[in-house]
Amino acid sequence: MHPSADGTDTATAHPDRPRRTDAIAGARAMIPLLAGVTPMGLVIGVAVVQSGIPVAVGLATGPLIYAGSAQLAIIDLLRQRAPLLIVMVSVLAINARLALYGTVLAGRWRTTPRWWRALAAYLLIDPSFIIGVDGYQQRRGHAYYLGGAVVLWLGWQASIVAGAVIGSAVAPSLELDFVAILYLVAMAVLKATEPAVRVGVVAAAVAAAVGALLPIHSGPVIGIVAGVAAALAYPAPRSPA
Amino acid sequence: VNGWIVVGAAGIVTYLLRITPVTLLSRHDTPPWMDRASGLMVPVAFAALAAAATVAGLPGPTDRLAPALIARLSAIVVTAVVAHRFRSAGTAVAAGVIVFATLNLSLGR
Repeated sequence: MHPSADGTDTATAHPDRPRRTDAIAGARAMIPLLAGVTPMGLVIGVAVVQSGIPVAVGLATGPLIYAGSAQLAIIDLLRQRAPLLIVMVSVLAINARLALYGTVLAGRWRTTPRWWRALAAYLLIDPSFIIGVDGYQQRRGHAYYLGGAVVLWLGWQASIVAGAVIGSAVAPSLELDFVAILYLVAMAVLKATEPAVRVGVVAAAVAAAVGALLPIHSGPVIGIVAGVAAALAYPAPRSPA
Repeated sequence: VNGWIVVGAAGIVTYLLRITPVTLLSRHDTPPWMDRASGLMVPVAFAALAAAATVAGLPGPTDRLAPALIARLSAIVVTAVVAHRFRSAGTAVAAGVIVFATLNLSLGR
Protein backbone atom coordinates (compact mmCIF):
# COMPACT_ATOMS: atom_id res chain seq x y z
CA MET A 1 0.00 0.00 0.00
CA HIS A 2 1.18 3.52 -0.76
CA PRO A 3 -0.27 6.16 1.48
CA SER A 4 -0.24 9.69 0.21
CA ALA A 5 1.04 12.55 2.32
CA ASP A 6 -2.39 13.21 3.77
CA GLY A 7 -2.82 9.63 4.87
CA THR A 8 -5.12 8.40 2.13
CA ASP A 9 -4.87 4.65 1.84
CA THR A 10 -5.04 4.00 -1.86
CA ALA A 11 -5.76 0.29 -1.34
CA THR A 12 -8.74 0.99 0.92
CA ALA A 13 -10.36 4.01 -0.71
CA HIS A 14 -12.31 3.67 -3.90
CA PRO A 15 -9.87 4.87 -6.57
CA ASP A 16 -12.43 6.98 -8.48
CA ARG A 17 -13.87 8.79 -5.49
CA PRO A 18 -12.32 12.11 -4.40
CA ARG A 19 -11.23 12.39 -0.75
CA ARG A 20 -13.51 15.41 -0.33
CA THR A 21 -16.51 13.25 -1.23
CA ASP A 22 -15.52 10.71 1.42
CA ALA A 23 -14.97 13.44 4.04
CA ILE A 24 -18.40 14.96 3.36
CA ALA A 25 -20.03 11.52 3.42
CA GLY A 26 -18.38 10.77 6.78
CA ALA A 27 -19.52 14.11 8.18
CA ARG A 28 -23.08 13.43 7.02
CA ALA A 29 -23.06 9.94 8.51
CA MET A 30 -21.97 11.44 11.83
CA ILE A 31 -24.95 13.84 12.11
CA PRO A 32 -27.43 11.34 13.63
CA LEU A 33 -24.78 10.05 16.03
CA LEU A 34 -23.95 13.62 17.03
CA ALA A 35 -27.65 14.26 17.67
CA GLY A 36 -27.66 11.20 19.92
CA VAL A 37 -24.71 12.32 22.07
CA THR A 38 -25.55 16.05 22.20
CA PRO A 39 -27.79 15.64 25.29
CA MET A 40 -24.81 14.08 27.09
CA GLY A 41 -22.67 17.10 26.16
CA LEU A 42 -25.36 19.43 27.50
CA VAL A 43 -25.45 17.43 30.74
CA ILE A 44 -21.67 17.76 31.10
CA GLY A 45 -21.89 21.52 30.58
CA VAL A 46 -24.63 21.76 33.19
CA ALA A 47 -22.57 19.59 35.58
CA VAL A 48 -19.56 21.90 35.14
CA VAL A 49 -21.58 24.92 36.26
CA GLN A 50 -23.42 23.15 39.06
CA SER A 51 -20.34 21.36 40.49
CA GLY A 52 -18.69 24.51 41.80
CA ILE A 53 -15.30 23.71 40.19
CA PRO A 54 -13.69 26.47 38.05
CA VAL A 55 -15.69 26.63 34.82
CA ALA A 56 -12.53 26.81 32.67
CA VAL A 57 -11.22 23.57 34.23
CA GLY A 58 -14.55 21.82 33.63
CA LEU A 59 -14.78 23.01 30.02
CA ALA A 60 -11.17 21.92 29.41
CA THR A 61 -12.22 18.30 29.95
CA GLY A 62 -13.83 18.57 26.48
CA PRO A 63 -10.68 19.01 24.38
CA LEU A 64 -8.23 17.43 26.86
CA ILE A 65 -10.08 14.20 27.71
CA TYR A 66 -12.79 14.07 25.02
CA ALA A 67 -14.70 11.11 26.47
CA GLY A 68 -18.12 11.87 27.97
CA SER A 69 -18.39 9.29 30.76
CA ALA A 70 -14.87 10.05 31.97
CA GLN A 71 -15.51 13.78 31.82
CA LEU A 72 -18.61 13.45 33.99
CA ALA A 73 -16.75 11.21 36.46
CA ILE A 74 -13.80 13.61 36.71
CA ILE A 75 -16.05 16.62 37.26
CA ASP A 76 -17.77 14.72 40.06
CA LEU A 77 -14.47 13.57 41.58
CA LEU A 78 -13.08 17.13 41.43
CA ARG A 79 -16.20 18.33 43.21
CA GLN A 80 -15.56 15.73 45.92
CA ARG A 81 -11.83 16.70 46.05
CA ALA A 82 -10.88 13.06 45.42
CA PRO A 83 -7.15 12.13 45.42
CA LEU A 84 -5.34 12.14 42.07
CA LEU A 85 -4.78 8.35 42.22
CA ILE A 86 -8.52 7.67 42.49
CA VAL A 87 -9.18 9.95 39.52
CA MET A 88 -6.53 8.19 37.41
CA VAL A 89 -7.83 4.70 38.26
CA SER A 90 -11.34 5.81 37.35
CA VAL A 91 -10.16 7.30 34.04
CA LEU A 92 -8.28 4.09 33.18
CA ALA A 93 -11.31 1.92 33.95
CA ILE A 94 -13.83 4.10 32.11
CA ASN A 95 -11.66 4.70 29.06
CA ALA A 96 -10.12 1.22 28.72
CA ARG A 97 -12.51 0.57 25.82
CA LEU A 98 -10.62 3.21 23.82
CA ALA A 99 -7.62 0.86 23.78
CA LEU A 100 -9.89 -1.85 22.32
CA TYR A 101 -11.06 0.58 19.63
CA GLY A 102 -7.45 1.52 18.86
CA THR A 103 -6.53 -2.16 18.64
CA VAL A 104 -9.27 -2.78 16.08
CA LEU A 105 -8.41 0.24 13.89
CA ALA A 106 -4.60 -0.03 14.15
CA GLY A 107 -4.41 -2.39 11.18
CA ARG A 108 -6.43 0.00 9.00
CA TRP A 109 -4.20 2.92 9.90
CA ARG A 110 -0.83 1.24 9.65
CA THR A 111 0.04 2.75 6.27
CA THR A 112 -0.79 6.30 7.29
CA PRO A 113 1.79 8.89 8.35
CA ARG A 114 2.59 9.20 12.02
CA TRP A 115 0.93 12.64 12.37
CA TRP A 116 -2.26 11.26 10.86
CA ARG A 117 -2.35 8.37 13.35
CA ALA A 118 -1.72 10.80 16.21
CA LEU A 119 -4.67 12.95 15.12
CA ALA A 120 -6.95 10.00 14.34
CA ALA A 121 -6.22 8.44 17.73
CA TYR A 122 -6.98 11.72 19.52
CA LEU A 123 -10.39 11.83 17.78
CA LEU A 124 -11.17 8.18 18.60
CA ILE A 125 -14.31 7.80 20.69
CA ASP A 126 -17.47 5.68 20.45
CA PRO A 127 -19.26 7.47 17.57
CA SER A 128 -16.07 8.07 15.54
CA PHE A 129 -15.12 4.40 16.00
CA ILE A 130 -18.51 3.40 14.59
CA ILE A 131 -18.17 5.72 11.61
CA GLY A 132 -14.63 4.46 11.04
CA VAL A 133 -15.58 0.76 11.07
CA ASP A 134 -18.62 1.40 8.88
CA GLY A 135 -16.54 3.44 6.47
CA TYR A 136 -13.78 0.87 6.09
CA GLN A 137 -16.39 -1.87 5.56
CA GLN A 138 -17.84 0.26 2.71
CA ARG A 139 -14.30 0.68 1.28
CA ARG A 140 -14.33 4.37 2.03
CA GLY A 141 -10.98 6.09 2.55
CA HIS A 142 -9.49 7.53 5.71
CA ALA A 143 -11.11 10.89 4.85
CA TYR A 144 -14.48 9.34 5.72
CA TYR A 145 -13.32 8.68 9.29
CA LEU A 146 -11.70 12.09 9.63
CA GLY A 147 -14.72 13.96 8.20
CA GLY A 148 -17.04 12.31 10.71
CA ALA A 149 -14.64 12.58 13.63
CA VAL A 150 -14.00 16.32 13.14
CA VAL A 151 -17.73 17.07 12.97
CA LEU A 152 -18.25 15.09 16.16
CA TRP A 153 -15.43 16.94 17.95
CA LEU A 154 -16.81 20.35 17.00
CA GLY A 155 -20.38 19.41 17.91
CA TRP A 156 -19.30 17.88 21.21
CA GLN A 157 -17.38 20.97 22.35
CA ALA A 158 -20.28 23.21 21.28
CA SER A 159 -22.82 21.12 23.22
CA ILE A 160 -20.71 21.30 26.40
CA VAL A 161 -20.39 25.09 26.12
CA ALA A 162 -24.14 25.34 25.44
CA GLY A 163 -24.85 23.26 28.55
CA ALA A 164 -22.61 25.52 30.63
CA VAL A 165 -24.36 28.62 29.27
CA ILE A 166 -27.89 27.43 29.98
CA GLY A 167 -26.57 25.90 33.23
CA SER A 168 -29.03 26.15 36.05
CA ALA A 169 -31.92 26.74 33.65
CA VAL A 170 -31.89 22.97 33.03
CA ALA A 171 -33.59 21.03 35.78
CA PRO A 172 -31.70 17.83 36.75
CA SER A 173 -35.05 15.99 36.77
CA LEU A 174 -35.15 16.26 32.97
CA GLU A 175 -32.48 13.51 32.86
CA LEU A 176 -31.27 14.60 29.42
CA ASP A 177 -28.50 11.99 29.50
CA PHE A 178 -31.11 9.24 29.29
CA VAL A 179 -31.84 10.29 25.70
CA ALA A 180 -28.27 9.30 24.83
CA ILE A 181 -28.86 5.89 26.45
CA LEU A 182 -31.99 5.35 24.36
CA TYR A 183 -30.03 6.26 21.25
CA LEU A 184 -27.39 3.66 22.11
CA VAL A 185 -30.12 1.04 22.59
CA ALA A 186 -31.70 1.86 19.23
CA MET A 187 -28.35 1.70 17.43
CA ALA A 188 -27.39 -1.59 19.12
CA VAL A 189 -30.66 -3.14 17.90
CA LEU A 190 -30.26 -1.74 14.37
CA LYS A 191 -26.68 -3.00 14.11
CA ALA A 192 -27.37 -6.47 15.56
CA THR A 193 -28.51 -8.13 12.36
CA GLU A 194 -26.89 -11.56 12.85
CA PRO A 195 -27.63 -14.13 15.58
CA ALA A 196 -24.03 -14.08 16.83
CA VAL A 197 -24.12 -10.30 17.19
CA ARG A 198 -27.45 -10.48 19.03
CA VAL A 199 -25.92 -12.96 21.47
CA GLY A 200 -22.99 -10.59 21.93
CA VAL A 201 -25.27 -7.61 22.50
CA VAL A 202 -27.26 -9.41 25.20
CA ALA A 203 -24.09 -10.71 26.89
CA ALA A 204 -22.54 -7.24 26.78
CA ALA A 205 -25.61 -5.61 28.32
CA VAL A 206 -25.82 -8.13 31.17
CA ALA A 207 -22.09 -8.06 31.93
CA ALA A 208 -21.92 -4.25 31.75
CA ALA A 209 -24.92 -3.88 34.07
CA VAL A 210 -23.27 -6.17 36.61
CA GLY A 211 -19.90 -4.46 36.09
CA ALA A 212 -21.51 -1.06 36.69
CA LEU A 213 -22.17 -2.14 40.27
CA LEU A 214 -18.41 -2.37 40.83
CA PRO A 215 -16.77 0.70 42.37
CA ILE A 216 -14.42 1.80 39.54
CA HIS A 217 -16.75 2.41 36.57
CA SER A 218 -15.60 -0.81 34.88
CA GLY A 219 -19.01 -1.76 33.44
CA PRO A 220 -18.39 -0.73 29.79
CA VAL A 221 -15.09 -2.55 29.31
CA ILE A 222 -16.32 -5.70 31.10
CA GLY A 223 -19.42 -5.63 28.90
CA ILE A 224 -17.48 -5.15 25.65
CA VAL A 225 -15.04 -7.98 26.41
CA ALA A 226 -17.87 -10.33 27.46
CA GLY A 227 -20.01 -9.41 24.45
CA VAL A 228 -17.25 -9.86 21.87
CA ALA A 229 -16.19 -13.17 23.48
CA ALA A 230 -19.79 -14.46 23.47
CA ALA A 231 -20.32 -13.45 19.83
CA LEU A 232 -17.03 -15.01 18.69
CA ALA A 233 -17.88 -18.22 20.58
CA TYR A 234 -21.27 -18.44 18.86
CA PRO A 235 -21.18 -21.12 16.14
CA ALA A 236 -20.79 -19.64 12.67
CA PRO A 237 -23.65 -20.50 10.25
CA ARG A 238 -22.91 -23.45 7.96
CA SER A 239 -22.40 -22.55 4.33
CA PRO A 240 -24.70 -24.40 1.91
CA ALA A 241 -23.18 -27.55 0.42
CA VAL B 1 -4.78 18.81 43.98
CA ASN B 2 -5.07 21.61 41.42
CA GLY B 3 -7.93 20.95 38.99
CA TRP B 4 -5.76 21.74 35.96
CA ILE B 5 -3.22 19.07 37.01
CA VAL B 6 -5.98 16.48 37.45
CA VAL B 7 -7.61 17.23 34.10
CA GLY B 8 -4.22 17.41 32.33
CA ALA B 9 -3.10 14.08 33.79
CA ALA B 10 -6.43 12.47 32.90
CA GLY B 11 -6.06 13.81 29.36
CA ILE B 12 -2.58 12.29 29.02
CA VAL B 13 -3.76 8.91 30.37
CA THR B 14 -6.73 8.92 27.99
CA TYR B 15 -4.57 9.80 24.99
CA LEU B 16 -2.08 7.05 25.88
CA LEU B 17 -4.97 4.56 25.91
CA ARG B 18 -5.90 5.72 22.41
CA ILE B 19 -2.47 5.96 20.80
CA THR B 20 -0.60 3.01 22.38
CA PRO B 21 -2.34 0.15 20.50
CA VAL B 22 -2.37 2.21 17.30
CA THR B 23 1.40 2.71 17.54
CA LEU B 24 2.31 -0.80 18.71
CA LEU B 25 0.07 -2.68 16.27
CA SER B 26 0.62 -0.47 13.23
CA ARG B 27 3.66 -2.54 12.22
CA HIS B 28 1.75 -5.85 12.06
CA ASP B 29 -1.03 -7.40 10.00
CA THR B 30 -4.38 -7.69 11.72
CA PRO B 31 -5.26 -11.31 12.63
CA PRO B 32 -8.54 -12.62 11.09
CA TRP B 33 -10.33 -12.86 14.43
CA MET B 34 -9.69 -9.16 15.00
CA ASP B 35 -11.30 -8.29 11.68
CA ARG B 36 -14.38 -10.24 12.76
CA ALA B 37 -14.26 -8.62 16.22
CA SER B 38 -14.26 -5.16 14.64
CA GLY B 39 -17.64 -5.86 13.05
CA LEU B 40 -19.02 -7.08 16.37
CA MET B 41 -17.54 -4.31 18.45
CA VAL B 42 -19.93 -1.53 17.43
CA PRO B 43 -23.28 -3.02 18.56
CA VAL B 44 -21.62 -4.72 21.51
CA ALA B 45 -20.06 -1.44 22.68
CA PHE B 46 -23.40 0.35 22.31
CA ALA B 47 -25.16 -2.26 24.42
CA ALA B 48 -22.44 -2.21 27.10
CA LEU B 49 -22.37 1.59 27.31
CA ALA B 50 -26.17 1.79 27.51
CA ALA B 51 -26.47 -0.89 30.19
CA ALA B 52 -23.67 0.53 32.34
CA ALA B 53 -25.04 4.07 32.08
CA THR B 54 -28.56 2.88 32.92
CA VAL B 55 -27.42 1.16 36.11
CA ALA B 56 -25.06 3.99 37.08
CA GLY B 57 -27.85 6.54 36.69
CA LEU B 58 -30.22 4.81 39.10
CA PRO B 59 -30.77 6.33 42.55
CA GLY B 60 -29.57 4.43 45.62
CA PRO B 61 -31.69 1.87 47.48
CA THR B 62 -34.45 4.28 48.44
CA ASP B 63 -38.15 4.42 47.65
CA ARG B 64 -37.17 6.25 44.42
CA LEU B 65 -35.37 3.18 43.05
CA ALA B 66 -38.40 1.16 41.89
CA PRO B 67 -40.09 3.99 39.92
CA ALA B 68 -36.76 4.94 38.32
CA LEU B 69 -36.09 1.32 37.37
CA ILE B 70 -39.58 0.85 35.91
CA ALA B 71 -39.40 4.08 33.88
CA ARG B 72 -35.92 3.35 32.50
CA LEU B 73 -36.48 -0.33 31.68
CA SER B 74 -39.86 0.35 30.06
CA ALA B 75 -38.39 3.11 27.89
CA ILE B 76 -35.47 0.87 26.88
CA VAL B 77 -37.75 -2.04 25.94
CA VAL B 78 -40.02 0.24 23.88
CA THR B 79 -37.02 1.80 22.15
CA ALA B 80 -35.59 -1.63 21.29
CA VAL B 81 -38.93 -2.96 19.98
CA VAL B 82 -39.62 0.15 17.86
CA ALA B 83 -36.06 0.12 16.48
CA HIS B 84 -36.45 -3.55 15.52
CA ARG B 85 -39.90 -3.03 14.00
CA PHE B 86 -39.40 0.26 12.12
CA ARG B 87 -35.60 0.20 11.56
CA SER B 88 -35.34 3.88 12.51
CA ALA B 89 -33.23 5.24 15.38
CA GLY B 90 -35.07 8.57 15.47
CA THR B 91 -38.52 6.97 15.72
CA ALA B 92 -37.29 4.53 18.37
CA VAL B 93 -35.72 7.24 20.53
CA ALA B 94 -38.84 9.42 20.24
CA ALA B 95 -41.02 6.50 21.38
CA GLY B 96 -38.68 5.77 24.29
CA VAL B 97 -38.61 9.41 25.40
CA ILE B 98 -42.43 9.57 25.37
CA VAL B 99 -42.68 6.40 27.49
CA PHE B 100 -39.97 7.64 29.87
CA ALA B 101 -41.57 11.06 30.36
CA THR B 102 -45.08 9.60 30.73
CA LEU B 103 -44.00 7.07 33.34
CA ASN B 104 -41.95 9.68 35.21
CA LEU B 105 -45.03 11.89 35.45
CA SER B 106 -47.45 9.11 36.35
CA LEU B 107 -45.10 7.55 38.91
CA GLY B 108 -44.57 10.93 40.55
CA ARG B 109 -40.81 11.15 39.98
